[in-house]
Amino acid sequence: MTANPSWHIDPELLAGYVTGASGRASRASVESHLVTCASCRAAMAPLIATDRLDRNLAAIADRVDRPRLHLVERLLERVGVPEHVTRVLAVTPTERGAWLAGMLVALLVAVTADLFSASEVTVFAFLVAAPLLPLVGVTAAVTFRQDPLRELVAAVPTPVFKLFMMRALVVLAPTIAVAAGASMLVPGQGWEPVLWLLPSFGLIVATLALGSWFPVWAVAWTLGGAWVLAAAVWVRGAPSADLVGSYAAFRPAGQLVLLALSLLAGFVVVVRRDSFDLVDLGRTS
Amino acid sequence: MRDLRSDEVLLVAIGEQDQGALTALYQRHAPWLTARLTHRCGDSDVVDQALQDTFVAVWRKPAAYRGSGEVAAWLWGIAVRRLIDQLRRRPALAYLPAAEQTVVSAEDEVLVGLHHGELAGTLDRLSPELLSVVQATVLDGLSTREAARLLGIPTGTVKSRAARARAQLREALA
Repeated sequence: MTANPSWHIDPELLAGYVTGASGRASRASVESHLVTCASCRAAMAPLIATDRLDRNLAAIADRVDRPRLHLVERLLERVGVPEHVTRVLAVTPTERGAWLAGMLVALLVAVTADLFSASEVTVFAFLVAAPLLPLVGVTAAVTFRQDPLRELVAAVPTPVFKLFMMRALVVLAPTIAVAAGASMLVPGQGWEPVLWLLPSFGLIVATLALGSWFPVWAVAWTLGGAWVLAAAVWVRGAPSADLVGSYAAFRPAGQLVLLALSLLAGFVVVVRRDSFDLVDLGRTS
Repeated sequence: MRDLRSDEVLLVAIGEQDQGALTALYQRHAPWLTARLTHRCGDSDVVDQALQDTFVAVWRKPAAYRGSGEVAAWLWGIAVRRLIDQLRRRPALAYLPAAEQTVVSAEDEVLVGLHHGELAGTLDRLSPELLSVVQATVLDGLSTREAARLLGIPTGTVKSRAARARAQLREALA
């Protein structure tokens, strides 16, 4: 409770404190008195510029109204990522929630399918379909389609490439974490639940690489379609008990080739980093 | 229109997402916090940012106030730490060891003399290094570790400087 001291700071001393004209010791005593005296605090209000106080209040009201950052963004901020960067990442494309949910369902299918010894066909279908989800996620994240920030970003001199990579990473990081977690949930299954990771990575990097020449969405649809078609054609006639093993992309050699292609595509992305343009990226196809 | 609720009641209302209570608390405390922060850092942008951060922090966690002691003292504790956060992000700016460039007028000297006797002159005679330690630990209520981080010196140095300052003050006032 605020005590009501009988002594109060006289107006001259208070004014001297605000302007900085008073000496150190009086400043110290003014400060310790202010903490305990509501009436001296109130007496100080007219000495501070009203427009400055109003401006700060407006800024506070603005921040209070804004929804709190997601946990991920708060963590990013905590480890020192500058606020303007987390803000860009925080304003996420509307598709993000959808693809995250989709990915979780897909992983759940993978894990439970193995647990209940589901048919090889189910597992194979999952492994082919799973890479498409992160692909859609990354494509949505880098195209800024339906993105409230798009106009703003287009007007800011931040290198588009940097922004592009940051958003792709934000989408990829949870994907990899969840996938790794899922594979650990099923210890006996070995690598099967995570076989889709490299194809997924390859599809994404290839999409980004080709996206420096063509509209990203068109590339994503084309490559995604090609991946599914290739899988279907490749395993035609193969024994249904060994579908996964028959598709080259899921065999060790095939995975190595995918890794090599991903690295090559990554190299292309870096070399052509200057040709990424928001206007082109935003084009639907 | 003045809000007649006490600071404690306002904090409870803030806990119930009452923005009017936050505004009332701001109008009551922002002026003196602004002035006091300005004595710690001369850059008005940094001070404004720290002030905003303070009230945003209050809005998010009004329950951090334990219900004992002055709300004003609690607010200052938040404000000075938010200021430190700001200063850490901009290493070019320093925490002022009680602003030095201001010339103290004869009038003020008299006022100071009236209110504080010899203490005034004694504080002014402390070297800036000792003074910044006294300010951070005694006046601003920071812990030894916080003061060390703020001033960029080891905790041992904070302790030894504080001891030296105490000894000098004691000697001067004896």
